Amino acid sequence: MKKSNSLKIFSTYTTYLFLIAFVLIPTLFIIVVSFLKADSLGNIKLMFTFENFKKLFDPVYLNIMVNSLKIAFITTISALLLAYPLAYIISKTGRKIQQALFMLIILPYWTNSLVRTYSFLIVLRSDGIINKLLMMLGAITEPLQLLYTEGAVIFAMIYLLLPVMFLPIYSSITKLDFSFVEASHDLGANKFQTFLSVILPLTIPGVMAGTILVFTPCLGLFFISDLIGGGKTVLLGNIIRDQFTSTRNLPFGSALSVLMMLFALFFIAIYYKTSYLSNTKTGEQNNE
Amino acid sequence: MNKFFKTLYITIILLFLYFPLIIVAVYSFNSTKSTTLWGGVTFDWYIKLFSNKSIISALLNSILLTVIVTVLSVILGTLGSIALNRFKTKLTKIFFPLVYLPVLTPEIIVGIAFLQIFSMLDLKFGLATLILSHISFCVPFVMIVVSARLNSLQNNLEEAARDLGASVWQAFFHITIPELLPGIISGAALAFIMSFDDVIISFFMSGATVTTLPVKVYSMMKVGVSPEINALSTIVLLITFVCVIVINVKKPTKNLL
Repeated sequence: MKKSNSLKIFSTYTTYLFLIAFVLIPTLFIIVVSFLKADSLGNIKLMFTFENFKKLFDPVYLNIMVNSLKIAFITTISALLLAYPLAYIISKTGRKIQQALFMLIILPYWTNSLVRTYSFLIVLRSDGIINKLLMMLGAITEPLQLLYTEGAVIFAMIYLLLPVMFLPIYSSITKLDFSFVEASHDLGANKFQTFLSVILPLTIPGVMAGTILVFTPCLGLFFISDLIGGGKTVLLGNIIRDQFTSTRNLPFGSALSVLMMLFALFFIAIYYKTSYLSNTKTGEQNNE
Repeated sequence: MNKFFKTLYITIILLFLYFPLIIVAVYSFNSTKSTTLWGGVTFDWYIKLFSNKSIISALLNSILLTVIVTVLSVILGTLGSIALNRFKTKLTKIFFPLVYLPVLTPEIIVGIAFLQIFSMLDLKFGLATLILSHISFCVPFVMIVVSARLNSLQNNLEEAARDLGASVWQAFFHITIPELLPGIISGAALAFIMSFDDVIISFFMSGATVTTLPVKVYSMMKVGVSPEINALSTIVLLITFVCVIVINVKKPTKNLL
């Protein structure tokens, strides 16, 4: 239509430059380094190898990875089970209350994650308020060791990431066309059937977006396992960090990062698939 | 589910989210060092905090960093969303998914990627490396928020301005930018908070002399719990709360994300 103009050229090329320099090159860099050899100091040597990826199957690292995935999995499922009903209940409240509640759930998401982790630490300490309350109520006589356990790490992650799970689910529920729900009721389905066959499938994109946004950070949040897990619970993020700070094996650290990116990609691929499917489903229903 | 259980459920979740934060804030005014025994109200920890030079310097670094990053991210992000939405070329369609990459990759990977590149380039770790790395994760968020606003607008006005003889740049500054302003403000707020709060990427990017407030707080926390950290945490919480409230008084929340 229009000929190229200076605004077009300027905006397009700055954007290309940005994406290449700040997104593409760093990502490719990690992938390349993950195939290079490390010298005895752990620095990069320009020699191609698969060694770093073979090392991923070392039982020591394999165990850490499986455990980190397990923690991420439990956290994601729990956050989902907590956030879905929450989003659903809030979406059914009146406009004013709904805005206020939405705000209250989202506000922690904006606050510093480190400060939130720390506040969790304060509450769970053996002389913390939870233990004091339980002792006052006579439920326990000795303070419980709540901190420095895997359970505490999972709880802290749910605490940190619940708003992240809530947000996309809430937005997909509020976008839901409730004439489908009414139609389902009119056709004789009970509440449970309607939920399973109408509401849930139509809100799957929100559920998947929440899952992506929660699952991968769970693998990487090394400061949670440092502060809440006392370093006993080791996450994928912790071993990656160590490869660049203490252990110093940059190529192996890069291979671990590539693995982490693959986990992220896996979920993104599922997301595209499910959101595509649910879009075509509603499309068909609209046509009928 | 009846109303009672719904209210109870929401209350429990809100308690779960806010109880620890309230404890930290309340006990930052406690005159004893404990986080359970109450010894009376004091402002000592705040006074102590503000006489700690390394904390003040970290705070100033953080503010300087965040302001620079926000300004640069808004400029780059706005240009980017215009390039991606208004001037669609084959190449932009190929490049567009790249915008989502920093949003979806775990922060630690962004951190170590820049760590390796900057050390290979022999850059000194400090404010410059922090700015560069923060831009990389803030710009995509600005782009997404501004694009959402851009897509909801029609470009009739720009075309009218052009038909009336305005140059592309005149139309850009007098029509497009004012129309995009709500999106730009939301994007700026998002970039500000993300940059100010970032721990993981800053952890890899800060140098021996220059560090940010969250990284400083992290190193303090690793040593142990102290009333000064409670006070510092309360200040950080307040800064964010005020930011979010200021934005939301102006704009409905949904535009933010």
